[in-house]
Amino acid sequence: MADLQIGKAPENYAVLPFYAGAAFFLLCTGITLPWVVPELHGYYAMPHIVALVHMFTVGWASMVMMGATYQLLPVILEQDLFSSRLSLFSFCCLFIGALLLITAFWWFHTGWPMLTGGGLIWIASVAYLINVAGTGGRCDQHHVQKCFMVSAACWFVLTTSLGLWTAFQFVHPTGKPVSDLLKIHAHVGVAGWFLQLISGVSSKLIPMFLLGKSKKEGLLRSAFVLQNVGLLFFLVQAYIQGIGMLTWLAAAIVVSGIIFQMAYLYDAFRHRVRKPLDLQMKHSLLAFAFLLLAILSIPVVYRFDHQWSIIYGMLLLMGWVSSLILGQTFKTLPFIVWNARYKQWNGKFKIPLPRQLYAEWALQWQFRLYAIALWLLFAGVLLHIPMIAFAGSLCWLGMAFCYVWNVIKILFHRLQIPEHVRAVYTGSTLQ
Amino acid sequence: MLELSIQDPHFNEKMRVVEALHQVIDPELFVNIIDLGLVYDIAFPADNRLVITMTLSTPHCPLGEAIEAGIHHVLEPLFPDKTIEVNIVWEPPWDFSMMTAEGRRQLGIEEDE
Repeated sequence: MADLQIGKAPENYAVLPFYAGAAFFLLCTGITLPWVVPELHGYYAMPHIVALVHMFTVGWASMVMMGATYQLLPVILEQDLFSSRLSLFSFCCLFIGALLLITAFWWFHTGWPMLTGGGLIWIASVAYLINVAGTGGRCDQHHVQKCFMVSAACWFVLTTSLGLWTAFQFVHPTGKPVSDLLKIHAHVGVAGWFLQLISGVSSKLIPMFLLGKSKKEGLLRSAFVLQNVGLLFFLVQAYIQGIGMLTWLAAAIVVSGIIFQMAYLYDAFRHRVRKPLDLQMKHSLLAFAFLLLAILSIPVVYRFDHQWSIIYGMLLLMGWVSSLILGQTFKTLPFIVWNARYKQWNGKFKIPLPRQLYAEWALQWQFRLYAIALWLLFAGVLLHIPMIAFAGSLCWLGMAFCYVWNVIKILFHRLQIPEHVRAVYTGSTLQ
Repeated sequence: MLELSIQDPHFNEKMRVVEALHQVIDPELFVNIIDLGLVYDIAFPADNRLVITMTLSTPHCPLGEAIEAGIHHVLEPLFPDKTIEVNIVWEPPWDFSMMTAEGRRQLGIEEDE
């Protein structure tokens, strides 16, 4: 009977490669950032900056978000994952595609590597959409988190389609200027794919981790409508007329959607029963502070462009998205690995807790180095002092090492069994 | 909430079950399933079964299988002649008010909440 009612976690091969791949690309951002720092004072669409941005958006953020979604979809939709094999297929396409695309941007090879990389990422996004829609389609409940997950997947496909079209324009220029397409591609990615996925997942997970509840579901429904209406309006208006005064109206609608979503989270935070916040939750709170700062910086970006465009991008990618992932990785990955290693041994002998699968000291240093890195990078870029920004990039590299160290420690955790139990089970199911 | 009556003919066995289930930890919250208030009923029907009716803190929780395995592991040695059944229900939905004082203390929840 319980078999019918307890959800089956997806196969590990459907989820864990994404965490490993994301850790690899985070390390790549740490290694390349010191080289890119001197270019941060120039035009934002330079090859190295575009390569770095795609390391963040595709290799790091999208990679880990896809993997985490495959794990969380069954919890959010209360339905088993549609296909674990399709998840693995999407990982292979995304990883190889990201490698090709990023190297193509870095050396600005606009030929087949860029188009193949973009094509593979597009295939990964379609596979992801099929998996999300397939899982959601079997779920009778139509709650707002499901709407967010499905709409985020649709926006993801549109983002990769626009990206592929932009890459195609580099090779065979035919239609709109590449700079216009880039802006639409970037905003659909951030406000469609990232924002909506984060809205859907965080509205389920953050109250769950805080042991808090909000009864104001209406706030979330309003957030969903406003974010989508605003983004659709932006898309149509920016494509037909280009980015102009009406863009402000679209931005205002999306921002009001963000405010509704944050109001929901704040309500759950206020009504939490678990008062102390762990480091992972502090990372998450910091993430939303960065999102607010990014929103507040929009008028300045519009007025001054170059320098503030870099700051705006850093607030969104290194601040909001990265902080959330850096924290939530250690709220999800240890449980996934623990479940795989220890679920059949629970109650048989004393087993480690999921939080004992990673090094707490490395997590603390990750948090400290992250905070220092961002302050130094922002100060260095704003004050035009390359040495400060360079020091910030080294701190970012240190932070990436701490993160990767813990991810490797968790992924390669070996089953710990007391000697007397080992003697009993020798030759049986010990892994 | 689980309530045991001394008038119950299976009172002693049920107390042994409760004691054993204190060893089964919800890996998400690190508190045993009795103090979390996840166990709603313990029954010894006439057909040689031992039925645990319980819920999970999160519906479709992927760690549910680990909890179910834990229940089997602690109860099978104690009741080798019984067939252990775990019956997961979602009604009434679990909330924090179902936890015991000890469960709340372990989670660091303030008593006035």
